Amino acid sequence: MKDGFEKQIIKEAFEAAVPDIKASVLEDCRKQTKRGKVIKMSDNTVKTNKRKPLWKAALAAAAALVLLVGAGFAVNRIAHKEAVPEAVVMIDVNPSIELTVGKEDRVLAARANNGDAVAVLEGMDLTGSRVNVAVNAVIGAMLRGGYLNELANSVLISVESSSQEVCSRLRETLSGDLRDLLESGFAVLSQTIDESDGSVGLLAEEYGVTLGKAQLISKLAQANPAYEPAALTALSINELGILSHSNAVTNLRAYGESSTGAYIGEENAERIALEYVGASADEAERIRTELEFEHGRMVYEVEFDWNGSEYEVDVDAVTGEVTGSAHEPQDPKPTSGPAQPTDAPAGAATEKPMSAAEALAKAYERAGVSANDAYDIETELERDDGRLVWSCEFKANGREYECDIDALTGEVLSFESEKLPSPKPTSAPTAAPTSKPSQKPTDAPSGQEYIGRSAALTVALKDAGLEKSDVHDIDIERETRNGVVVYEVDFEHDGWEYDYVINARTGKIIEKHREHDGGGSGSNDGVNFIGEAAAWRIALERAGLTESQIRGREIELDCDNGTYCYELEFRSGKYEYEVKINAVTGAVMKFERETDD
Amino acid sequence: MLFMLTMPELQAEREADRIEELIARLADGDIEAMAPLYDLVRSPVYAYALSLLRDPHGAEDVLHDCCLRVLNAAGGYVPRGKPMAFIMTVTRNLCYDRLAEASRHVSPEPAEWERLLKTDDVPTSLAAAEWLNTLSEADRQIVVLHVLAGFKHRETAEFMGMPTATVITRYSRAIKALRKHIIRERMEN
Repeated sequence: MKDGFEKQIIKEAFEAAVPDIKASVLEDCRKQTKRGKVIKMSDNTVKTNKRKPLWKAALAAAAALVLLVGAGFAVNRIAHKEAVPEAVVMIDVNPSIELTVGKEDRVLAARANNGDAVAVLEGMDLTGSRVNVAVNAVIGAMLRGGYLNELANSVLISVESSSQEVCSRLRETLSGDLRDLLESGFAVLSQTIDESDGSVGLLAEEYGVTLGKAQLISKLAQANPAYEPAALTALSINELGILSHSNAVTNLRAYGESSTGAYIGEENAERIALEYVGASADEAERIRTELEFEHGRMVYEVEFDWNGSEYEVDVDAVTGEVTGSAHEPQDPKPTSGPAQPTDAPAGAATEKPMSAAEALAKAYERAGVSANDAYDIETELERDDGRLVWSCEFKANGREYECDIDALTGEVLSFESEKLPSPKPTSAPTAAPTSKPSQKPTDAPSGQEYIGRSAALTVALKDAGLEKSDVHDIDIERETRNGVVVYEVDFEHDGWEYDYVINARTGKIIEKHREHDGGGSGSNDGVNFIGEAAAWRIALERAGLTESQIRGREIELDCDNGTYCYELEFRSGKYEYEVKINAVTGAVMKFERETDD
Repeated sequence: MLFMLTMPELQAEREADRIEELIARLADGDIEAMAPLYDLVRSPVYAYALSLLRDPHGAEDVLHDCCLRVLNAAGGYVPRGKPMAFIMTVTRNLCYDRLAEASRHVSPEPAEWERLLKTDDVPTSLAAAEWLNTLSEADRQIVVLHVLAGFKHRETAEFMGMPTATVITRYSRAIKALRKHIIRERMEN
């Protein structure tokens, strides 16, 4: 959670209360040393003591230091038991169980990390048994408890140990023993906890997921920067298993395939996608379908060529509902459509562009929407690669549309529609789950070479002078803007929100933007709010009004996702205003003016 | 893998290194190391003791005794990168000793947090004090260990012998409650 502001308040409150007794402490320490009470290091502690090489190491050796520090952890955590723990084996399904393993791979302790795990471990004494026996017992109990089944068949096993040898031995032993399990159609993901990666521990803490799950999420997000780690925390081990199949995740061994039995299946998804655009199965070419994670849900991303355009349709993997679609003309191969001058000659500028209303009419026709149903309409005449284009955006019937119309010819250059977030879920179609062997789609279609999401992120980070490890809340989307395919790359760093629009083919930055969100948690901005008076001043200045011009004023302090803000409401003339101002920085976070009905 | 660490983590690692270095110097008989060590540990130690004892004099004694104990134990300390866990364990033992001692006498009413914190000098601490009054002793410990001693929730869980998920839930609940106090106080002013 974002808690930087509260931490600052707590710190200041306590720090101010600490009495200054430094002088007396130092004096008593001196007295005590003189009395010779300080126990000097004995010879045998010196031998085992890694202290000196540790801090005498220069920064260049810092990596080794972090490793050693990390290595101490597994041993340290149960330091006071007689038996020395050698490793921790974590078993995640949804129940999450931790087995501390000592000499001869014997279990020293079993710990339940969540409520489901308590139920699984109930009445089971695993202490003293061999780790493979214990793991089998635990998985057996998970099967009996219904946590593992044909719809959710994946088990994540993570091994944490200071000794690499112990890690690989345990992984070997356990995966050998799980072969039976695999034969019955289950999937096992196995990994070693990389203790030097501190961000994993943070992720685990922040979202209350286990260390093993956090590491899997973190590796997935590294493999595919479009994934937002926070959003992935909501997924099950089975879903993470599916995603790790289609992404190259490092340090993860996967045996068996994670079940997609809970989904409608690729065939159904393809059928729905084709129906959605009105194409028949024979007409569409190069159909490629992949299970993906987008906007917080599992979707089938169905891509295909039809009618001279390349389509992408996202189908909710559970409900079969179309959650988004986009299409663009295939590369400038002249199609059999109406003859279009692809590159208008210079003289074409003498032709008069159509009006916004005419362009909108074309857009409505393409969307199959009546003009009466459309709202939030925006039109803009733009010059795109030398041609005049009407960019039309509007909403209708629960969807948002973006349509680019050639202002001279009226040709639809691009068309996209996306479902607006709606609170009521639509009913799931009765589609039988299919288990067709998944066909991995090839990379970018030929002639449409995009630089890829990670390259787009690299371009943006380089421009911002940041490393990937410095930023969070990374969001990368591929979109078509004015007929140009772009990556929209957003991320945050130290309270700043960065926005980049990057040409998906050339990697050139088309647009960039940086904004302070004022919610930086690590900053030492102090703990004072700007106050209500200042908030009013800022709001009025923004509205271009004076105090005497407004009425019905209301102000409230709120905390929105860890950021304190003043929410102001007032009226002036026929308008009603709603303004949100960051209570610490005074930044205007929201400004809305509506007609007062 | 150093580049994988975030800045606050890196700072925490550096602070841990620094504390271990100072403890090593104490072990070697370099008493000058106590002054910087005192500066690094005074807030977490005092805050933790105050949370447990709710008695400023007792907490002051614990801070004093903790420094002397660390000095005495420095020679036997094996660095594992978690010096704060060691220091907080010493602090907790000292607090328990005092509580055991106090239980044999008629203990005075624990003071209200408005009196334990210097709310006159630091106006922002008034909301904190009101909030601390409402927290359970365990929740106060969870907050102090994370915010002042820099413990990760997982380390707090180990230290207090409770599941990590419980620590995270209680911490989040406590912070949300503090938000309410802050908002109420600011709206009243």
